[in-house]
Amino acid sequence: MNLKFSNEKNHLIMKIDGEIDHRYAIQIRNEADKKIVTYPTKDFVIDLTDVTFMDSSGIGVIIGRYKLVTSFGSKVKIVSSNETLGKILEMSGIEKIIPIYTSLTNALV
Amino acid sequence: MNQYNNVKTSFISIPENESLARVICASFISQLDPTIEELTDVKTAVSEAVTNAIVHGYSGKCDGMVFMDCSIENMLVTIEIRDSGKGIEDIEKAMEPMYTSCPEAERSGMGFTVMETFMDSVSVNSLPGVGTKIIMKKLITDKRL
Repeated sequence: MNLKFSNEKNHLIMKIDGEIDHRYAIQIRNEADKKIVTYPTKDFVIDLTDVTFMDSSGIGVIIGRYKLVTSFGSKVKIVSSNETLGKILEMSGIEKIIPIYTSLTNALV
Repeated sequence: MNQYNNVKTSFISIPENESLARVICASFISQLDPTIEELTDVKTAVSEAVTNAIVHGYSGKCDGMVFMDCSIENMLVTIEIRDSGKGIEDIEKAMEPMYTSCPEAERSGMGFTVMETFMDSVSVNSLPGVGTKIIMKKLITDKRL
């Protein structure tokens, strides 16, 4: 798993490559929270485009970041065009609280 | 032709072994030529069951053993994940969607729901103080038909 953070159009973007399971969820949580508290007024984009596997630990870490980011009054967006993740994102019902975009460009509008 | 195969493996209860368990299972069932979706379903369910053993069964302690038994009989995949951890007091409650025994760890409480959604059947046997055994089955599509 590899994490990259960037800033664009008043968004803090976290791009995750590779697998998200319980082991990596802990690492994502720790690194993401440091960035989120540094840029609390920016909307937070979680880019899952290059994630190759995700279990419910990934859902837990997304919901956890959602709680933190929204506590600052900012928004969370997910980018995923990935069929592999479609099933777990759908069954989690996460789209009811966090919008899912098919590309980063669309998310940043 | 009755095709049967079995692999048994055991590993210590550290998070690094979650991906190992997924890879072993995925490699083992690949002889049935599953679709990408079927393969992802099985990997995800295995990941949930092994994470349960590590996080809940052994409460994050690294000195437990997790036992995984994968078998195929014709196109039916059966995966058993067993731990000798603390066990589950109330299985029905543990299997409720969104229930988690450790909310502070940001567990989504969806582990059993994922297993039930992604596999054809899931059964859980657990005895407090003795351990937990999860048996999951999934029928892989036979592309020769």
